[in-house]
Amino acid sequence: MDIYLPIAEISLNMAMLFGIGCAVGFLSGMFGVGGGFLITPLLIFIGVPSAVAVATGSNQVIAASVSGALAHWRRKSIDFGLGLVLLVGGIGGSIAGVWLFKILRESGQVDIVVGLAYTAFLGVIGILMLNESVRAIRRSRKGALPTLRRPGQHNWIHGLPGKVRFKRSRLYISVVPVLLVGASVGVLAAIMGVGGGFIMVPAMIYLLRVPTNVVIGTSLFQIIFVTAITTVLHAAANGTVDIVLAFVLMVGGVIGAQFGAQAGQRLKAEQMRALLAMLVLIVCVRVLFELVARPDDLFTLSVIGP
Amino acid sequence: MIMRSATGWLALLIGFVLTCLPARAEKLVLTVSDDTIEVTSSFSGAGIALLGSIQRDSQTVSRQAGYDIVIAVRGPKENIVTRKRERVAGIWVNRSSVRYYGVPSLYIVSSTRPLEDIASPGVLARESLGLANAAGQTLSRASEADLAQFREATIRLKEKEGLYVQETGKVAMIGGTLFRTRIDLPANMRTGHYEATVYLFSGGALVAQDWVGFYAAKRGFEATVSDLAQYDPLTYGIIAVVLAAMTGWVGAFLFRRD
Repeated sequence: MDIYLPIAEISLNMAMLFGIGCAVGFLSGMFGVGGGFLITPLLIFIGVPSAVAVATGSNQVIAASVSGALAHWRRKSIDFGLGLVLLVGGIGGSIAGVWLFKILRESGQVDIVVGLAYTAFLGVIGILMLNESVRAIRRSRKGALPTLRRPGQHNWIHGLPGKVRFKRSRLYISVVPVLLVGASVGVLAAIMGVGGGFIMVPAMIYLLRVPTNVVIGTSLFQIIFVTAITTVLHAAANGTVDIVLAFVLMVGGVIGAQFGAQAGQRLKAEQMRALLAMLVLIVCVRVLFELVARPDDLFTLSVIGP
Repeated sequence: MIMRSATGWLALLIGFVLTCLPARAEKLVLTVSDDTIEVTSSFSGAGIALLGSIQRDSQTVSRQAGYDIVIAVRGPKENIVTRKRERVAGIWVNRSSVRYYGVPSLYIVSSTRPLEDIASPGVLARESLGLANAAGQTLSRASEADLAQFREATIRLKEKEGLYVQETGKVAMIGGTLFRTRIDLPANMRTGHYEATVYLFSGGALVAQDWVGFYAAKRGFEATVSDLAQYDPLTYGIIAVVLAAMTGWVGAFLFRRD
């Protein structure tokens, strides 16, 4: 059955949309990611305009993050103080990102910038993650213990001013890098229609040295609010949030996530990271292909006003 | 919604014959089967019937050449930009663009015979008949050759979307003075006011012209959603967020794993 999407202004097959939601939900449940980085390119491939795909992706990520954050909240693995500072940065980043998106949209470059952002970030993250997980798999085969976090170790970040104590993370660090990490994720959320967990989680672990047990919960907590603000801003500034499309995707996503989480428990952490890395690289190559392949038609047409 | 049955046609015919009044010269009397098309969630296009009559009386000049009819359906006007991609450092980027103002969002032209057999290119251009004459005005200062290329591409893209159609032979004459056609409107038609203009030609000259309008309107849930998104985007955005948060919460609640 075809369903008419009032903002995207196209009719798409409802079973296909629900299926995309389920499949992405399955993967996001399995790997513990929001799935925005899969939803947005998939929507673009099936014909949803880039601007609508990005804004609707943000909306969809809220649902996945709320589900995930609730589970972490029950396990008390959210550092609310750290989350709030990240969020302040995230709001700033999101405002800047939506503003930038509006300019790009008006000048007709949004498709290319979204494509390039996806290629760059997915490429770098995918390669780093694949490299790291392959090493971890080799190490575990040799029987060595994985290297643990060394909280005493200092880097340049600890020399910055404005230090604050974050109790649950047992951290005493400057708010400047925390705000900056939050802000960069906010910009990405606005431009790419993602939660930004794939940037935030490594940044928190390697840059801020947040203990891994609170990383996921805290990043999900921040992502809920950044994607919520991004959704409202996209709706207000660009009018590109398709609530019907988002709802079909998120219902599929919530259901798929449950099965994904069960499947994920059967895999080892480093195997899962290697699989996720390969998935990220596949999406990256697919997006890159769209950018470099000669388009069927060199001309495109868009409506600029009534 | 769409009248296909014989009784439907009959009702239409009776209704419009009653409205026919004696005329001095040729006059057109037109009616459409639906004056409102409802765009709902399962909307997959619509067909409407247009029925017309050529009114003559004793004072009307006799035509040796017989009649030709051209019907042009034009959708709500819009401003569009056509962009051309070029390869920059291996990547296809939008480089040049041309903006067109007041372009009909939909343009369906159908006629009794091929347009070029009905009237001269000058007459067709004056009345904006035929796809070649469909695109609107531009203020672009690009070269004549570039503009021709962009105009051709714009019309081609509109045709690909099913919004611009030119077809011959779909207008059927019934006897000497009645005619009818079926206008097939695509699923991606915009909402707003549509005009079906009927041009009566004889011997290459335009002898009469009249139009009949109809509306395409979003109805029900879709109308509420798009109206809210357009007129109160902030509330719309907040509703989208609350809906997502609730979906996530219900999901976590239903599938609680601990």
